Amino acid sequence: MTMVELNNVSKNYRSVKAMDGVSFKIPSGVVFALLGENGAGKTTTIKTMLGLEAPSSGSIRVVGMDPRKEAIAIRRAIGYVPDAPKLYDWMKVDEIAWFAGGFYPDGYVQEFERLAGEFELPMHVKIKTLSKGGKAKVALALAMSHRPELLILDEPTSGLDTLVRRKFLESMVDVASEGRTVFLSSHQIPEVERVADYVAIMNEGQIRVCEKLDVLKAEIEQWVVTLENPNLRLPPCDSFLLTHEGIGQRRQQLTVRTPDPNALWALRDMEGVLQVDVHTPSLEEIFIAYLKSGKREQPRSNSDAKPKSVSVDEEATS
Amino acid sequence: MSTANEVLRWKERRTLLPVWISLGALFLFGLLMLMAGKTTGPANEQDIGYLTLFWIGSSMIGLATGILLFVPEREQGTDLFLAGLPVKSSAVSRAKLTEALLVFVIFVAVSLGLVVAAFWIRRGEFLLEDVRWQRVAALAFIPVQTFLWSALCSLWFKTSLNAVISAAALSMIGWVVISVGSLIALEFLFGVQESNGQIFWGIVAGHISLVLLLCGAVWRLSSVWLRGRHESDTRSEVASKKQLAVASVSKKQSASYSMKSLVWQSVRLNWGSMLLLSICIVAASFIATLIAVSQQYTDSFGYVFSTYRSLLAIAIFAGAFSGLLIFRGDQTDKSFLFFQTYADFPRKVWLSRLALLCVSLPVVICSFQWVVASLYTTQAGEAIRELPILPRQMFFNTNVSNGVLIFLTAFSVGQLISILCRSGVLAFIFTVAACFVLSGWFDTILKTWEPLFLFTVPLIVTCLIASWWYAPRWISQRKPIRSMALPIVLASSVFVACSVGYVLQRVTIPRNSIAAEYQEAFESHDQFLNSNKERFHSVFLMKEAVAALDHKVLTDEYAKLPLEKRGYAENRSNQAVDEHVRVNNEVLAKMEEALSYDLVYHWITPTSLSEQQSQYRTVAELLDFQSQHLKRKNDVLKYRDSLAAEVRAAWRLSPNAAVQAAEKVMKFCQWSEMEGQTDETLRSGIAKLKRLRSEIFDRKSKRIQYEAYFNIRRKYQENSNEQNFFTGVLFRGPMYWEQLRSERISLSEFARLDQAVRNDMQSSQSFWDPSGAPTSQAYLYQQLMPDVNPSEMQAIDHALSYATIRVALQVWRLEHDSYPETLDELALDGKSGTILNQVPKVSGGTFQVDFGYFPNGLNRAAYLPHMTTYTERGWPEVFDASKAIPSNTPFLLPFAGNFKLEPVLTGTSKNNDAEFLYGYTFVNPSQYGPNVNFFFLQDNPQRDYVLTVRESDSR
Repeated sequence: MTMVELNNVSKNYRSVKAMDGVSFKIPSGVVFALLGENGAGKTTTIKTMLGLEAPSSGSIRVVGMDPRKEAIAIRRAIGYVPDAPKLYDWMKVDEIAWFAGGFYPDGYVQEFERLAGEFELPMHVKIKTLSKGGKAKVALALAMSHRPELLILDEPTSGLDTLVRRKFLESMVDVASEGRTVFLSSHQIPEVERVADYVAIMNEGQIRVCEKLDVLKAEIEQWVVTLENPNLRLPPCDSFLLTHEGIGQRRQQLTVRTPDPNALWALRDMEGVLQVDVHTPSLEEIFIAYLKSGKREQPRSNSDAKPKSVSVDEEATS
Repeated sequence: MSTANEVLRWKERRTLLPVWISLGALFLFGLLMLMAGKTTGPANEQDIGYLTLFWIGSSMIGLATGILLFVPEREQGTDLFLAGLPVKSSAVSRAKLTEALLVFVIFVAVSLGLVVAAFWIRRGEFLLEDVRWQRVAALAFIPVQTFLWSALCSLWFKTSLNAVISAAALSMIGWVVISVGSLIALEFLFGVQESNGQIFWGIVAGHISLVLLLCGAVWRLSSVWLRGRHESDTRSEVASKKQLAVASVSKKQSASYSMKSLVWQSVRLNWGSMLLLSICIVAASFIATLIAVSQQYTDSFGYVFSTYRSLLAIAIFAGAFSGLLIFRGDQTDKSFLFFQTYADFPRKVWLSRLALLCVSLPVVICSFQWVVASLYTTQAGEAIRELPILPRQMFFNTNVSNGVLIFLTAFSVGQLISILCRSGVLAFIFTVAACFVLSGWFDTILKTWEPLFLFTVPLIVTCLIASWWYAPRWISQRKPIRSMALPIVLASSVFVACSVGYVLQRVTIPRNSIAAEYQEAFESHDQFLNSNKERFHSVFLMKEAVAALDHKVLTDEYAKLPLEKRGYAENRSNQAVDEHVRVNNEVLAKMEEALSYDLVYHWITPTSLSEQQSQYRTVAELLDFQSQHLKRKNDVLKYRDSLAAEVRAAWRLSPNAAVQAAEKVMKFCQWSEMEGQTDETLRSGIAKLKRLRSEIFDRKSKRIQYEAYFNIRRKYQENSNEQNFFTGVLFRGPMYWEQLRSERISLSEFARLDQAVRNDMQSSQSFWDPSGAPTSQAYLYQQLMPDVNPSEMQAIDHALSYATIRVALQVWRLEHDSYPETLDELALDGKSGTILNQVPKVSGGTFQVDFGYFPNGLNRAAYLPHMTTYTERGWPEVFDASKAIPSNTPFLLPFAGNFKLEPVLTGTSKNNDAEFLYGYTFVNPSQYGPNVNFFFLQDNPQRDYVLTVRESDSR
């Protein structure tokens, strides 16, 4: 079942294009990470999914519903933790649970109490006395207490310390294992890499790539080429090249996706090339490569995954 | 399990509980203070005072409830939390509006209850039939509209400060525009001129339309308020601000560059609020000026709207909110945290805010508005059009300098609040409270004639030093309690020290301060009474008398009388009149003694015309009771003296001196026809009138300095080479100045006039009007006697002459049992000697003619022109038959002219069943035209001019 489906969605604020032809699908029971820099359009994407913002064009389906028409039903079916959640400081933890419980079916408060126990949250203290991590836990518990099919978390780990962050992200895997879907928006890439099943990279309102993390890591390689002569020009490999960077005088690094198998051998055999090392890049390196390349890949299903030709960034090669 | 509505309403109640408790306490305290003033003060209050009580309280609470609806959620970011919940925006709004309306209604009910209680305490019972419900209904729209405007602004604006400023301004502007617009629409559509009912319903319809429109807008916008948050806009804005500010405080940049960029950044941060505030100031000043100008022509707002007070309030609010803007922008998290992170020269940050934000725009706009309005409404009046005068007036007009001082004081206090209060709503409440406190403080200073400079400059300096001291610590996050307490302690201690120092030592009071002289005088009472210092003695007596005035006797009866009859002693029972005079016997004695001194006018507080009028009425009302008491006792001589005291009070205390005095003089006509008059008493009456004339037209009197000019003008106007007095001064200056000296003008007044004319001569082109318009003369009169008009002086002259003849006619009648054939006989040697040495004439600038005297009356009814009325059928003139002078009745007109017999259309006001009758109508030769325009005569019934009046008919 597809939990979220965005089809060519755009959103404009006057002259600013916050979303530009965004399309992706999220199946159920996965952890989906939307990665991007500040201002990339992640929060706008989430708000359009929640029905808080109307898209300028395109169509959105969340949990099988249209956010423009059934925003309340969608919010009832999902849990949402905004970026830097602002809660009513003057309420106690149990009070805010009771308050939020008014909007959901029976059992909300009991589930909240269970989660609070898991998160080691005190129930009878005012929220303003909690630490930043404590407040984040309250927000998360509030979003999860009605056992939503889809959990949307906007920058959930910002401000949390390392241990809490790690524990929190691991709990997301547990949620996914229960058959529910987690949508994470973050720029904490190393943390996300450990838990995400799917990854979408967003930049300047556009989705650069949306892929299963395993596939992405399997298909993308980094070649570090050591040259005899610094002025030597490498052969063109535009069809699979993402970025091309110089490392010092004689070494160059190429990030490639699903390269032609013969291309590596041809490079190694090339005159003036002393050595070619092949690495598997981290998600952070993939992220940077896509941001630098400026390439935009069309989303594809797992079955028809095959390399697509991408243009070479002239600046990267210069 | 609770429902969504229940939890939402619970949240609203809990969120706002502390606010309601604090605001409610403040509100109740303020209302109780006002109520105490209304129930214990002198009995000259009007309904509008009680309505103000209700109106101010309800409007303030409407403003608070409306603003607190949506803006705080937006400021704190909790609206996003609500947006994530599965609840409709309209459901949240409905819960909010329900709770706010509940609170609003409770507060309005409380204030209404207090008003009713104030009525009850004052009058002893509820007199619902006396309440002017139309006025209550019209004013009740203000709080309702304020609430709705506030709710709307709460939806529109991102910050509570902007929302508050806009809501307050829109409420007032909206109310005025609808009221005035409805009147114009009625006039345009139906030509309604006189029907109060139609005007009322027209205005109410306009207000109801606006209320419905606002309700619709609030309902529509509130149902979608959780959607459409333009986060990306805010983010880009914040990003650009940060980028800008990082550059501005970067050490790599030069000092001047960083200063420039800081100023620019501060402007960018606050320009919206600045613009909004400026618009509000301009709009408020414009409305105040508009009302002031209309007041000049109609005097309709005289008791309700004090222009001076309004401009004072505008200056205070403009200053306080300008000050509040200094750090308001920086109090938001983003800017605040930024400076704590980056700025390592906080003093420069503070200076950048001070430099531009608070000195430039509001000061210029407020000062300009103040200058324009004060020039237009005070002494310079006409001269505002004479542009060369403007700069000089700007510097020397006391009102302007007071306005600037008041603005600066409020500004410095607002600045301190802006740095001390982080919460926008709290800062607003404190600022409004400070405005009220400052308003009272300034009022007290001005009322006691103390120099404003002395009591405001220390406060301004202290507040500025305090914020200078605290701001760097605040910006760099070094803000222990000590650094917050010190500025407050410093400001308070200077304030207290200043007041205490003044009271104890008075070393800093200027030697020429009137207040200092009075203070000295009052402290040595006995010595003072013996010192025969006329000025202090009279003022002291008057103060003592008014302080001891007792109104309690009148309270019971006051409540039972219809509104329009309450102000007059003649409508009171004998018991009430006698008791009131008996209780205040000593007060009356003191008053009469004080009034015998010319300089008793120093008792009048020079703050506003309406206050002066109020002070005068306190005295006039008691004297009126005394006169009524003596009249009913038929004590001819004491009644005469009481009337003389009334004339003196009017002349020396009333801001409308000449007209009021003329009205009182006319009472001698009825006095002369009282039973029990003898030849001797009537002749003493003539002597009393003569004495009053000499007192009023005494050239040493400050109030009559005008008369010297009047004489000179008459003397030299005959010279055809000189168009008017002013051109005469220019041609033959030294001679005129000599003449002025011989007329014993006081030195200071002379120096003032001399300087004014010399300055005007240097820029004389504005006075060389070829048409010879009387602008220059008016200007001179204004310089000398701003509150007495030349034509009004003619009125009192007329009244004295007329009353003298009327008394003389009664003397003649006692001696001859009939009236003389001509007035000239009064000056002839009769049985008991001459009654009058010379028969007074109707005199204008260049003519003298006899009063219109008809000893045998006319053979038909006679109609006077000012009794003309108009009908809806379009007939140009209908003479009011009920007010005609009956046939064959002797009468003496207070002006010159004759009658002609002709068909006249008779009827009564608003009566279209008029009919043609033969009667006499008044013909006034054109050269005596101005005589019939004395408006003090127009209100008198024509029977006042009839000579044989039965005692029972007299008022």
